[in-house]
Amino acid sequence: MTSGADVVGSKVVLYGSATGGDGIGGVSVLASEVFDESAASARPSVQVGDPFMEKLLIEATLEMARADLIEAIQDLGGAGLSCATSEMASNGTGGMRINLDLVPLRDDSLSPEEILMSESQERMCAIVAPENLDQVLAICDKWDLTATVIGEVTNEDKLRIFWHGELIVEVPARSVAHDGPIYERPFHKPKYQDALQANSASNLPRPTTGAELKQTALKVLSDPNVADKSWITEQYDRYVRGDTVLSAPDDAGVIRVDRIGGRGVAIALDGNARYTYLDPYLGAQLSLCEAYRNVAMSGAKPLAVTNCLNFGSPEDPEVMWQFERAVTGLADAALEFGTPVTGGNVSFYNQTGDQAILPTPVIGVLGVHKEVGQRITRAFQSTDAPVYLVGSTESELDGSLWAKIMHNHLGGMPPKVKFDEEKLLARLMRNLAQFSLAEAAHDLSDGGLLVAIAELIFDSGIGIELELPDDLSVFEYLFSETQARAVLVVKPAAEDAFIKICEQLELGVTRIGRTTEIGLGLAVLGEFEITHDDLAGSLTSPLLG
Amino acid sequence: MTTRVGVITFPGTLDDRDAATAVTIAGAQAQPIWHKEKSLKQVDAVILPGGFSYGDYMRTGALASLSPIMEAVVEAAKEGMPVLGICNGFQMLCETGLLPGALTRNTGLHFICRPEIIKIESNTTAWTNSFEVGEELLIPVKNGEGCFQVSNEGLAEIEAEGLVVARYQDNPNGSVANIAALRNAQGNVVGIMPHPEHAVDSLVGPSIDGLGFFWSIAGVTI
Repeated sequence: MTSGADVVGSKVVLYGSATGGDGIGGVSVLASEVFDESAASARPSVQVGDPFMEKLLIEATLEMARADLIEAIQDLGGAGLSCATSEMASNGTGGMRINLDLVPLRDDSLSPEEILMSESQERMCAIVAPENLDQVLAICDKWDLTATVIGEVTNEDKLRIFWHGELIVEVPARSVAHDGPIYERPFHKPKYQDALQANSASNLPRPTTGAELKQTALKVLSDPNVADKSWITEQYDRYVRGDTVLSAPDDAGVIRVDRIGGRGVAIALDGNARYTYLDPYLGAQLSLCEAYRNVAMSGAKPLAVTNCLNFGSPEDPEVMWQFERAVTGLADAALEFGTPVTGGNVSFYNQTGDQAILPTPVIGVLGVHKEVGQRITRAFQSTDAPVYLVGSTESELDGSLWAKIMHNHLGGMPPKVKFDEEKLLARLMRNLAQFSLAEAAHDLSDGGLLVAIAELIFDSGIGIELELPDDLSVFEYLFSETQARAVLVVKPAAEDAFIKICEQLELGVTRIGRTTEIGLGLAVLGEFEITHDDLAGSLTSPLLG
Repeated sequence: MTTRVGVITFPGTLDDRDAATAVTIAGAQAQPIWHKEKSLKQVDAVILPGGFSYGDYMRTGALASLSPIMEAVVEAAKEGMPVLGICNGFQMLCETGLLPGALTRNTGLHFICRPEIIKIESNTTAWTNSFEVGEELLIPVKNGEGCFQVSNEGLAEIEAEGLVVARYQDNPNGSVANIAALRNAQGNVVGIMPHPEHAVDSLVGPSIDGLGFFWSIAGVTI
């Protein structure tokens, strides 16, 4: 379905909740308000959601769509009716007449401006041909939804809105929908940036003995960012409608969309504010790389990108510089991966007084599975199965979780971006899924190898014993955050085939250990051991249910 | 002949599609029924699926129990038609008086969604006759108001008559006597808080242990 009103004489049908005074100016006020002492005045701008009404609206809309009864449709989001009518008119003939007196109201005292700007939730606006109107109204009645014809599509060149018999709006719809003002905000590199990037974590004191390494590992695992999130994820329904193939704690969510053919989609969202603060261009790219990698871990082919870009006030030239760098980095990375950015969302003014949040682009990647039954998960059952590290490891500790947790340090340059290696890793995962060679896979991201291994052990209950190569220190192997890496538990009988595929792809892999027995926890040979109970205790301590 | 199982959809029902899928996988035929209808369309059995009918306004299941179709359901149940209420459906069965007790807010106050082990105690109902007594099933719970409550006398009666169909092994919501599923004396009406319809396909569920409920009604012998 489109959002264009292009058949003259079609009716404009508003259905769902009545329009109230809530959410007036929500988008414009909330998006530009600095949250300080005066923020209470923005409270009426917050919309009030009603999931039950939303469910009725979804079901009714799906029923209309299945019966092919609507020409075009749009939900009422930011800027409410004024946005929906102008966008739909603009995407169609350009002409529409609306009578505001017909809009069902929760509050009779609303002015026409307020009716136009209200962001009351759970409302939809559909363009319906006259011959389908009765059926559309009947479906709304079935779901106990109020539906009202508030206007119609015209062949005039303007959007005309009437109230109490008076013409109160007369504008070219295209102008409202597409000719918004374009800001040319000044930006410059923050004064602190060079000193920040020069302040590397490489000179910080490191653990050397096995006992120190163990203590450091337990501390990192008990950080809230690393912790087991099930206290949160168990408060959401993952089973409804029976097509959720993978969900928390797996690297990507996977939904089956075709029960007969087996096709499915994989989705992951990632962001790393510390990397982005150190270098906004690279940070945005690293966030995209991580989401791309997480989707790839399930065996899916990454296809498209979306984003939510969270920054402080763009009126601050230093914040605007972070934004400009992040957007440029994201665009360049999307081009490298051949993954289009299909849409997104920007949230500015995230600050208190002059103190902005760390720049936080959150990047979503969507991928496709030809056959979801081939998906690779994080859970494994085999004991004494080989554990491999894919990708090469360098000493990259700037911006790492280790630097943050152990030294409260944030400085230096984030890890290197490795587009080619990420693409190869994704290809490897698709091959492993197709030939069913991997028992489990987990990407390496913040917290490095230590966190990835600990999560694998925690999810399966089976221990892992590591025997790390000696080209780097054990500390560097465990805590470095080099990109384009993953840990794989390979099916014992498939080890030769696995190595052959890696050689064909010219992908560096290292056997770093084996799975042991249930309850044995983590052993790093020659250095330290952490029992399963201690490991689970650290991971669950921040968010005990 | 293939068993026809009616699956009723109320405004706010979420798991109607899942229940219909489970019925189909088990070899029976699913018949969708809208709550505003008054006839059960000659089905052989009825499922009241999970969800949040009427937004859980007033009390869970309270408004749905007054829907037009419920008169027919109550009447048919009294005449012996098999009725399975899952989660929100269990709440409706308590509201209509077909089953004793009530479902209240979980002791931990949170909505909980995770697989739990339940143990079958009664296999003489229309919905559990394919199980062995003592069989353990891994089935998802997902509820905010799944804490079963009943008076002491009511509980004594339930236990004396053997009306407990299944109990939690690790009680997630504070239900009295760890009750996860309950039956009426005739064994045609069963209410269950966990979701057997979410455990019928190993690709998307934690097990296929839920299939037995649907095999039971489909008349499949294993």
